[in-house]
Amino acid sequence: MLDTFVFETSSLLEELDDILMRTENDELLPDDIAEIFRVMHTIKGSAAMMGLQNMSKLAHSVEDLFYIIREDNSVTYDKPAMYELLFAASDNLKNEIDVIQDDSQELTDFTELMDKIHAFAAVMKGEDTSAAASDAGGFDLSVVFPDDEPEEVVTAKVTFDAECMMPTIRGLILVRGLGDIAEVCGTYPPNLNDDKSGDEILKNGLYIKFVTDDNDAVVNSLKNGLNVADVSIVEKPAAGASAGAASNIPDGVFADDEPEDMMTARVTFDDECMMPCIRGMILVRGLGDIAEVCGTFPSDLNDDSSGDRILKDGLFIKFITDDAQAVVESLKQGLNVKAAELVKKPDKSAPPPPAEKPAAPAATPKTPQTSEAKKPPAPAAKKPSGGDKASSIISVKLEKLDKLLDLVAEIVITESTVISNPDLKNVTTNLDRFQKSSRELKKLTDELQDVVMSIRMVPVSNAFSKMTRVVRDMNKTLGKGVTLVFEGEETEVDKSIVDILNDPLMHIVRNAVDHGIETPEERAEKGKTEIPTVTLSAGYDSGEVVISCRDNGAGMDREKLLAKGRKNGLLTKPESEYTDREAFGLIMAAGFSTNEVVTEYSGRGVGMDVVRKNIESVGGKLYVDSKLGEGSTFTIKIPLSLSIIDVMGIDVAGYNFSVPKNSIVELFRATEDTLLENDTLIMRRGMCLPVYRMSRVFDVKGENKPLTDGIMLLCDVGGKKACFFTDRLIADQQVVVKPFSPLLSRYKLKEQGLSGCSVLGDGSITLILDMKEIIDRLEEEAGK
Amino acid sequence: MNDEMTSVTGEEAGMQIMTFVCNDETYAFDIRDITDIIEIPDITRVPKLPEFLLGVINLRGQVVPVMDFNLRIGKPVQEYDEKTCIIVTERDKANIGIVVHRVVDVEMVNREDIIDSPVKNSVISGYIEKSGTRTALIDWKSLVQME
Repeated sequence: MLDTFVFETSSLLEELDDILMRTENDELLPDDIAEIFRVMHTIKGSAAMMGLQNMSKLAHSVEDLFYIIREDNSVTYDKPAMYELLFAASDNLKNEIDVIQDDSQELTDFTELMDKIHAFAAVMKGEDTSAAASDAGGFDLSVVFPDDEPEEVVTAKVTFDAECMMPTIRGLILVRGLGDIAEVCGTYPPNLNDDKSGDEILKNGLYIKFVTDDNDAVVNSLKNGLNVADVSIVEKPAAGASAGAASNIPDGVFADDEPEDMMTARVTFDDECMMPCIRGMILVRGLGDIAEVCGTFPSDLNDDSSGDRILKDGLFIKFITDDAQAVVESLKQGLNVKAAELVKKPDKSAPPPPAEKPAAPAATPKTPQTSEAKKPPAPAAKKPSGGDKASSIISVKLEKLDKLLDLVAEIVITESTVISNPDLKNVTTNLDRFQKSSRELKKLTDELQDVVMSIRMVPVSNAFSKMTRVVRDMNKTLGKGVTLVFEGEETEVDKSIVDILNDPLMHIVRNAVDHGIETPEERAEKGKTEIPTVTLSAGYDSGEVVISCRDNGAGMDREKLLAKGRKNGLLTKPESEYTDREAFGLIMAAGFSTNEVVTEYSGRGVGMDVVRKNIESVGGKLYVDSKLGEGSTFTIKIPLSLSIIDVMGIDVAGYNFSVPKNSIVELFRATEDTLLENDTLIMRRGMCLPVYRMSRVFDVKGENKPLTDGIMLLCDVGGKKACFFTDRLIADQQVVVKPFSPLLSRYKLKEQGLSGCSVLGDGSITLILDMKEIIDRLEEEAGK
Repeated sequence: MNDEMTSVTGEEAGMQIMTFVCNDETYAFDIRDITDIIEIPDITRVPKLPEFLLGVINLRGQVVPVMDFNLRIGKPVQEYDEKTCIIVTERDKANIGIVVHRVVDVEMVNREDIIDSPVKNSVISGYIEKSGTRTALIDWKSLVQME
């Protein structure tokens, strides 16, 4: 339930952010207004259903704001100020979603922000602010009275003279003075040491809660206080009328988690009415056009016993509508209907019936006690609009997909075990039909695998669009006017990768805007005329997702970086031996930050090293390139988390290696005349390519067979081509890559070109090669 | 064995150890680190690893690295026979198999009977002297060089 709420609300808030970002510097169209209204309305309802009154109220205040805009197109308002409020509200709601998932945190109080929104709405309505303020002054007494307050606690309201200085101190003195005659349980405002409380006391009065035997003595004592204008005992606001009406509403009509906008109508029938159940059903059906009926009480109208109860207590119909009056009218028209009226949920603060224990919480009367009491259907499914859009999409827990993916992986492996089972080799009969069926099976499992993979794929724009907001906020504070450009944001990657990308991207983008891009003055000085731009791009490159963040800012100074590295003792070899990439890589070392000034956005000491570690922890890599004066590029490369890969199994001196098929161009047998330069080069397809013996690549002892006596693998990774010699091919297979045990990580197998291992159908293990690492390493060694 | 393990964790004063012999010396693991004792299966060699790391094995679908105890502590390797076995150990989901010559017994020791070794970060964390035999207690983290 909570999960659903969190998911739905998060996606609604993202939707909201999208609209806000889009319309901030553009015209706010009626469609957008309606959409924002709908989002807030839905959040309000579902938050109320979850019992999150703070979120519900905040959403309500924004909804109110947009109600005004929606109803009156001509209304004028301060748009930038409103957007600040809207972004603040959106941020607060997002934070709150984190808070509610963490049991240790208390719910946030949004009163301050809500007051601002209310004041803004008031201005819009043409009321002046002071009126709005005084409106807020008629403040909600319920905050003074917590629900669980014991009955014997008495509350006194003390008002001070308007010219009273330091009302908080006066209050403290009063409270102390009561020490002898009453036990003070608390005050409102609660903290009298806080200066802010002073204003509140002057405005609303000071509420003192106490337990005593002699109320009058307390009141007299308070009245004698300095500057005290008036003292009165205040009662807990009883929900008088509705509580009275509620008394003859049977238990179970109102569920605890009912959303605020759900209304309840009570229909009473004539005593002589036959079959009230049928009448009820007809009434409910008749409402179809004007209201959405969520349920009735008694809930089962097909049950005969409900009839008697309807005659006794009436029929309760729960619905959501825009026009409650029309509903009541429609109900009244029904046959045999004596009366139809709207009933309200008994107020939470209604005092408990005297018969109950005084300390019992007031919520008791609402607890469903009859077995028929059923919760109304979750209104989450009843979004006022957009229902059609939502109906074709379901949300599924990622764990379930993971499980499905694992299962499919196992099926694929098992399938190949069955089809190429060694036992089949001894069968002499004709296996034609078996072969045909197994081809069919393979086709189906391949398709199944593709579908499962594609389910998990999401466009990387999910991660990118969050950055729009980051850049916008930073532009506000830093005034750099940076434009964010996306390239290839439709690139699809596994969901888990998008999740991993969020934090590193945020860090890198912040860095680019904060440190990368110069201030407008600096740019003008350097004669840079182009718009300061940060470009996020995404794409694939040989089995990897490549995400880069490019800025056209100041770039990094190699010498400065090296100097700083020397100062911090980070250099491991002479400065002249550092390549550019290594020098720029220094900023990813722990304890390195070139910006002396700590800003709001970066430079707090946890920098690029954390980003690099995050990315490396999922098998990715982070590269930095930069040109002084022209900008920097941060490139993240993460392997596509395609856990099943097609490989070619090869035998190298008894080692069982697997080469991913996506890096193999072709397999061939070399001929004497194509080999050059002492068997180190080979001519193939009009290219001259280096030749390596796979056994030498891994320093394993292999027979020194002539190169014409085995198989050549022509590999191409990211444009780099090379031929590898192997003794023989084993099989063409599909494997599930498993990383090596963390206990082997110190041996840097990944850097040597071993990306993981996999258990084959016959129980043996194969080692998966990373041809890119191998070719890079060999080229580097050749360069030395 | 499970029952014994729970009783061990309940008692502060003592611990259970599994003793084994390699090159006529007696060593011991804290039994809580041990998940399996298996015969030696096919070991898949992995290049670019130090000599004492023999490769990886398939333990019920899991790929587990294997080391030779003798080689790890710099002693001559003993020929593998039918009683040579692999003790599979695990901590924090990181598991590793250790090839030992003979597994001997499971014993109970008191904390105060363990004489700490003065050498820091050594594979041997302490010694237990009991009825004339000396058993070297192995520090798992140092043995597997966990970072």
